[in-house]
Amino acid sequence: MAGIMGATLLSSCSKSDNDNPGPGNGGEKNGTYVMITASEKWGAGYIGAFSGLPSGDVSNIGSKSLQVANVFGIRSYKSWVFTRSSTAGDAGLQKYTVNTNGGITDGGFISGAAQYLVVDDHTGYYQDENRGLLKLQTFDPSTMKRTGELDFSSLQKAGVEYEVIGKHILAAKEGKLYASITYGKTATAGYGDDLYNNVQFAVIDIATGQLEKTIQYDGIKGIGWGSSANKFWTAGDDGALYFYSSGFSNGITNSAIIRIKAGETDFDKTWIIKADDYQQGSTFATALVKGGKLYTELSSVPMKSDFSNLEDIVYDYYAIDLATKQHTKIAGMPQTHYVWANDQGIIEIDGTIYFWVENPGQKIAGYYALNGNTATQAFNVKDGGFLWGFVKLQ
Amino acid sequence: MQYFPQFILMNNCFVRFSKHCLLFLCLFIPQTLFPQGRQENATLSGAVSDAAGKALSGVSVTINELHRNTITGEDGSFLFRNLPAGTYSVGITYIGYKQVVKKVTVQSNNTTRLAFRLEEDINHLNSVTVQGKSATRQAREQTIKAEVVDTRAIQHQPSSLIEVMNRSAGVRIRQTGGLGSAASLMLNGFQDKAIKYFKDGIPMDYLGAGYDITLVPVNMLVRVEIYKGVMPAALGADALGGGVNMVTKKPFAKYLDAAYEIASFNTHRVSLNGFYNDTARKIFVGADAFFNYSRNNYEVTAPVDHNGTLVDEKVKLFHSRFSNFYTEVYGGWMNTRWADELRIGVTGFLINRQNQFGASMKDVFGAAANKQYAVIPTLRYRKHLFNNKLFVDQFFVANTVHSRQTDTARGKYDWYGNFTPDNSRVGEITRQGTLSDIRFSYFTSRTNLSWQLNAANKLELNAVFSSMGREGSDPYGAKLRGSGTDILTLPAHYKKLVTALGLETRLAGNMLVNNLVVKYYYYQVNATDGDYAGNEQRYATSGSRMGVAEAIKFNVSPYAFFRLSGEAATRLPEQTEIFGDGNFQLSNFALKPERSLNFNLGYRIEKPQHYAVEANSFYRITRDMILNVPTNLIFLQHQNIQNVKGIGLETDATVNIFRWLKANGNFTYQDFRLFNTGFATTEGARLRNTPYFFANLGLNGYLSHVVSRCDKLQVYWFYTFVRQYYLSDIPKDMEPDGFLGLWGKAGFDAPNIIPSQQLHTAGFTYYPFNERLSIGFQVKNIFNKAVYDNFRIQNAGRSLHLKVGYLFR
Repeated sequence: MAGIMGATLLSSCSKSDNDNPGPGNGGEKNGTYVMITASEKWGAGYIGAFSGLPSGDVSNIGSKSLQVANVFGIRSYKSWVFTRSSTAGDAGLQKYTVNTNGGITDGGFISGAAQYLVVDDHTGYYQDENRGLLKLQTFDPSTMKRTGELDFSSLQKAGVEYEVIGKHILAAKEGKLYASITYGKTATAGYGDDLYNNVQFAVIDIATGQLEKTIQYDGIKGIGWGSSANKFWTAGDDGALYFYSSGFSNGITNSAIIRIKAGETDFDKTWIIKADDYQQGSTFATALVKGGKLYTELSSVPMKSDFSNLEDIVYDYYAIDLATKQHTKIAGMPQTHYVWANDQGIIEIDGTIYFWVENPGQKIAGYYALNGNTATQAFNVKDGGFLWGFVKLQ
Repeated sequence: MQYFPQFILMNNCFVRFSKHCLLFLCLFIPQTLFPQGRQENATLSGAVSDAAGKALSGVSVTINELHRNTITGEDGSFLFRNLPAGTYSVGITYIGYKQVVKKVTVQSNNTTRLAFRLEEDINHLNSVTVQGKSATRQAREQTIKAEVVDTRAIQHQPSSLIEVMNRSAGVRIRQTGGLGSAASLMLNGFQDKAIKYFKDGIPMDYLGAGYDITLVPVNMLVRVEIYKGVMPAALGADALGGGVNMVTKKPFAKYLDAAYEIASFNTHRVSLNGFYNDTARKIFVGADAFFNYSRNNYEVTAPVDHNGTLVDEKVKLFHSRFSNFYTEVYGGWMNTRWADELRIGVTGFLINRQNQFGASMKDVFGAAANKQYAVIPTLRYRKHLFNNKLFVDQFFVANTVHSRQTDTARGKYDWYGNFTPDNSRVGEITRQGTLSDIRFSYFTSRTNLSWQLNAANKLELNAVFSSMGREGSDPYGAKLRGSGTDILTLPAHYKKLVTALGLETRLAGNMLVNNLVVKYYYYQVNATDGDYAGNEQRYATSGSRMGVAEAIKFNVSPYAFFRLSGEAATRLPEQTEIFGDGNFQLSNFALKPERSLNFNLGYRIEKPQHYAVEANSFYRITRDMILNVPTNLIFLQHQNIQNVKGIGLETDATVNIFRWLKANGNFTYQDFRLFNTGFATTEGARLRNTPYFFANLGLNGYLSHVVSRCDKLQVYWFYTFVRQYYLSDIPKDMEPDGFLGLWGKAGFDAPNIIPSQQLHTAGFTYYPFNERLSIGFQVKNIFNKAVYDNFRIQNAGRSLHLKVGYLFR
């Protein structure tokens, strides 16, 4: 009898482990991975850690998962992950770490922080509108303490109702901090209300905190979208920073990707990728640049001016040649959702490129690994809900 | 699915339910509409006086078997007409006097007279609490289940109506602060818009925030009827989950009742009720008034921002002051040939409220405030016609409620009241601020016709027509993107008609009572919205729906009965849910009414002066619940999202331990779960942010001759327990384990909890000479526990309350 019970217990444990790998269990690639999922599309969800690259069907809800009140994407820096709200849902910058047991631990919280950038272990910037629209706050990511602020009131433009720095874009390379300058209206708080048909950045010397200059790219609006974890830019393997303009301004028009090349501190005004060249009315929100190609997500149908089909499952992934701008559709993948708050729409892990797929109709919420021009499913989160991000920690 | 027969869950369940009811009608009604045998032309009249022979007015007289009751007039007389011949028990109940029951036999074509002489009851408090007034008791025992809070029994206690209601089974009210702060009532899992409020049977929308459960002193009311799931015909509203009917005093004799309460946190509450009538001229005048004021400056543990880092510190609230005046002056004619009552009233109220925090205590405000005021004329006409067979009750009101919000601090406050100016912003709650001035106009007509077809059948028709409008302005408010037009200046009109036709049938000598109610809901909206480009667009939409309610009561004995009731209920979408604001709130013209099938089954048994026990179970299946959800990246839209079903059990027991000591207790367990969510982790999950187990205990002692020969003392202790619950959905397979999930914790790290609550309240009421003068003292939250009704919003700690009342007769 005891033998039968023991065998049953063993077989049930084994089945459970194989069929329902949860946080803490990993696949073949070593390392620590963190996933964030929402119970439904928005609202509360879970942060879970994996001790290896997940494979097959996985769950993000296990005994070591942390439930959080709001899920809207995630970012990582070395062994830390960051969200834009606390466990309880308060707005601010929340740091988490993965403890030795695989659980998620509170690493500190900075109240009121919105768009942010971690430059190194002890240097970080964030925007807190309560402390000033034309100020950037500084913090130490190790201690998660605010350390001061930089005042850019000199950028104040007369007659502009709402002017804010660093709300939609904060990026850095080669010792310079690039902060978007938004001119909009108080009522809409800088979302889709650009007054001017151009993009402006402040270029700030990180060492001195001094404003060096402002740079401008004409003809496009809606750079970045500062409400979520999606930072709306990527650093290419060519040393350039690539910035996405959503084109959200009176509908979706003229979405584009622009760049600041390695060694430069101004926009590369000879180069632009326009979404309309591939699909009229489409919009960029994610990219990865590697080996002379820019991988991105584009809709297969025109986006409607009232945004009503923005969340439809109509998106495919493409590789665009940086030089010729020819695009090639990634094969083997189902269509997916607008990347929205997911900063890891396209990620590279140990040399492999992975594409995020959210396709509730086909019960897919996971990542596909690229091999050549074809991608195959790497893992699938079987919890339902919504997969909002996946990172590998250093 | 696992709780109820399959047919209930089918999409056509409403149709089937309706068919069952119609079948019941066809089989059942013809036999009862035209009963054979007994004649109904007997008359019973009489008079009630005190021991000295002085006529007593306002005394409740009840024919128990027929469930008919009346009130004695100024001369102490009463009259019942059109009675079936037979033998009946006639009960007399009057505060301060012993209850009397007499058997009487009435015969056809004869008038039988009865005389009652009442003796004073030295144990008056005890009897009131156990028995209540006759009308209160009838409300408690009516066919459609109602939780009845007998406010007269505790009117001299410095208890708030919320506290008193919270001691009832199945009721949970959560408040976001001190006196005057917003309260959310939960009935069997339904909350907020699913529950409608009434004052004396009239939907209370027209009263704005001037008269609600957070403000009204308990001594202004006779009772509060709380309907859970199934609503009677007389309460005409599109309530999905129930309703609260606040029943005011109905004086029949001259009196003046005054009360004053002083309490911690600089709290003052004053109430005044007066009534004068001239029986010769058949006129009456009266006034009901109350005033509430509180600094609400209690201590909380708040997250104080120190250079971006939040540190929990004990601070005192400094911007939560609340005050309100409410006065209703009325007068009219009563007991004339042309009217039982014609009442003309004018109500005025003014509310001033400071807001120190919003949805959580993370953000602190130091200047934001709102104000609401109105002057409200009302007209009510009541008349029995055709030998009391037809009763007409008509109510009209037309008024405007003014609401002003101010958020123009141009800076931010911290938890210690320090202000940091910031000229880049207008408001402190929102950057754009607000200075809105909105006028909500109301016209309501409520018609209630009740026709006693015969001794067994009563037909009731209730129709409530409401027309609501909104206009206003806000120089800092949302504008249409295209034209820049202030959205509040755009006209918005909403019309609603809720009609109910009910039939009450009594069979087998009143052993079986049946209520069948058919309801019709109609709404029409005219408003202006903005298209995506922000251009003004006029839209109109309308919708209708049928509903049905059925309730059966089976009297096993005079002191025991079963009740079964069910309703296919509807809540119509509101104007603000259908229309957007031309900005980030999108319109949704496809929005459907919320609908719910609600069932109650209960049993009550009582041994007078010894014990009373009641157990009720309930089942709900609710579809298309409306939530405001993010959509298309930057917008919000009301959508039919949530489906909830579940069962619950609530019990209530009262035991007379000694003649002078009574214990009561109740508990509520409810298991409401989401279904058809489309998401695996929420499918079957318990309804989040909703208490699922709570209980109350109480002890009441009644003593006489404590200090003097004519004094009385009531002492009491109340205990409330609410089991902790989670802010967010917990997947069903990860829920806390243990019996009914009452022990243990979630199967993962789920820190967002509304913690368990244990509250102790104790006090006494002393009547030094007679019951006209009362002195009440109470200590709330005796052990000064940190109490949370809502996630991380702390309520007041220990507080002391003293209330003095005097009744002039």
